[in-house]
Amino acid sequence: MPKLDKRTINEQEYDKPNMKKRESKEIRTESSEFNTTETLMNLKNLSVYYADNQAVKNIDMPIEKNKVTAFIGPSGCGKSTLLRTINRMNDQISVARYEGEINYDGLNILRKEVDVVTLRKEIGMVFQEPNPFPKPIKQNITHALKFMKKPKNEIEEIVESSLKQAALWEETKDRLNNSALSLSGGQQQRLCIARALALKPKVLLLDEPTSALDPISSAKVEDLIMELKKHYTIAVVTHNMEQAARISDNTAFMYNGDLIEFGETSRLFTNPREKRTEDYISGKFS
Amino acid sequence: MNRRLTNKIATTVFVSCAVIMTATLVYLLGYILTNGLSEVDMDFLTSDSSSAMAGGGIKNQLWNSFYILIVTLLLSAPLGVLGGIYLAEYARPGKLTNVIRTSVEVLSSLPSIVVGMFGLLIFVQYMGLGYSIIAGALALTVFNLPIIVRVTEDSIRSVPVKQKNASLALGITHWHTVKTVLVPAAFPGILTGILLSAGRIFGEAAALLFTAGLSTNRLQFDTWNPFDNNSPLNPFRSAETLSVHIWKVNSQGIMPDVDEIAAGSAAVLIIFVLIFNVTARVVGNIIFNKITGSK
Repeated sequence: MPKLDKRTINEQEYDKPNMKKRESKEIRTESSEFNTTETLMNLKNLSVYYADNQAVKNIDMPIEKNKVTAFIGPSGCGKSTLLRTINRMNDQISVARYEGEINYDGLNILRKEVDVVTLRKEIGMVFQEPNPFPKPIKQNITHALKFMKKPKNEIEEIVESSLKQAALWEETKDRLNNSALSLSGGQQQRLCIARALALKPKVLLLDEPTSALDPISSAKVEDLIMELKKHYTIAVVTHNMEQAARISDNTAFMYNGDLIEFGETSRLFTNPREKRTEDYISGKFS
Repeated sequence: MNRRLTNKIATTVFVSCAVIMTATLVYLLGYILTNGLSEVDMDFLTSDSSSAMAGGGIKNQLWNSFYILIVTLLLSAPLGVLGGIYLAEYARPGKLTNVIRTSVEVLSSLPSIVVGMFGLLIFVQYMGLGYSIIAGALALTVFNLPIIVRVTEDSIRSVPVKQKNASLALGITHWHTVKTVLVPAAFPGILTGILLSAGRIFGEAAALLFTAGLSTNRLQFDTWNPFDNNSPLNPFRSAETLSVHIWKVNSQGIMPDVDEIAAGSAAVLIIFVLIFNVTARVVGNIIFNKITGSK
């Protein structure tokens, strides 16, 4: 990871809390590099506490660039907490606190001074339940763009391109001013993905994105994820092990807040090293 | 069989409660309106009240009621909405917040006659406002403010948290999320709450007895200089409102048609309160549909 190294050498850069400053020198690697393995994010000894309860325990793992990393494990194992830590959504919870580091682009994003607003633009998130704003379809996408004061003509383009990217353009182009709530659950979820993509993030965090959807809608969202990983780094939490096996490149199995096993999906599912991983993926417990 | 019977009994109990409630309301409304509406005509609404002779109207009282209502809302709505937003979104859970919330609750449950006495002491005498519209509006603000704070807090809290998360996760600041996601979604609820509280202010008498006073100057509806003593707009003149008028004619009226005036005024009062309530619903729904883009 050559570019990251350069950054880490520069200590002052390290100390800059404002991510905006770095944006000018932003290095956006071309999408053609998606075959190479490059670590985009590094979790170092990461712990998350809710008051005295340690929900995530001393986790070390990389999240590789332009790959899909799946987090699996039984309910309450801390996988959603871990995901929500990556874009600091846990800051919302007043009793939540972090230990350890998440290094992203040479910066520990858990530091207090990091501007979470800028961070969340780079690290988008899609939630378990589709949560479009109760506004027209188009406004769902323009909401954040207007906040960022993008010029009008640019906004129009982004609406179209992000809906196309989310494979929703054909279904919605004639009714962009209808309420987003008139869409089906699967369409709403793809709208939420489009809404996140409109900000041109580098990372997409998906928290059980298909668990509230029917099988056909789920399949569409899965196809979309496969398509998106060419351009984005994706971390997905899922309850569905078939899904993890189908769509992810790397899988992390968590249990009780511990990272039990992390590795390439194909290897982890066929030849797990840990007994508990084997038991879980073979359905002995859930 | 037993379970089915219990179920039936429960249904009957709930239905009869609803019937009793509705019947009481319908009876009350019917009684007041049938007794009062026959007294209400254009002349009643547009003539001055008389202190001794028959045939007085309620023009000034009606005007005063609306004027005090508007001044009260101007004072209490902005403060109340901002306070509600603070409690729902910014106040960190802790002792201070609990104290604030409890104070708000106590404030809203103070007996209105006590608020009137308080107003007499503080606004009328200490602040030297005298019996005046502004003193009356301030007293009404004391117990209207907590209602609006409460309604706003509840409306904002009832916006699904997933909406807030959606906005925050898009890299939007807390304030912008409050402004563009939470407040718009809560707006129909807030507006409904304000309009309902308007109905309460409009009908309030006890708090105004000692603050807005029992008499009204001879208002001249062609003098719009707010500093003129006879101007309807003067906020520093004493002002008898419609509900105070009902109390006054009933307790100390010497005109021969006391009962008719009271009945007519009551009918007018009720009709306006009904209008506030219905408007609250209709406007709330319209705005909700507009914001959500659904039809």
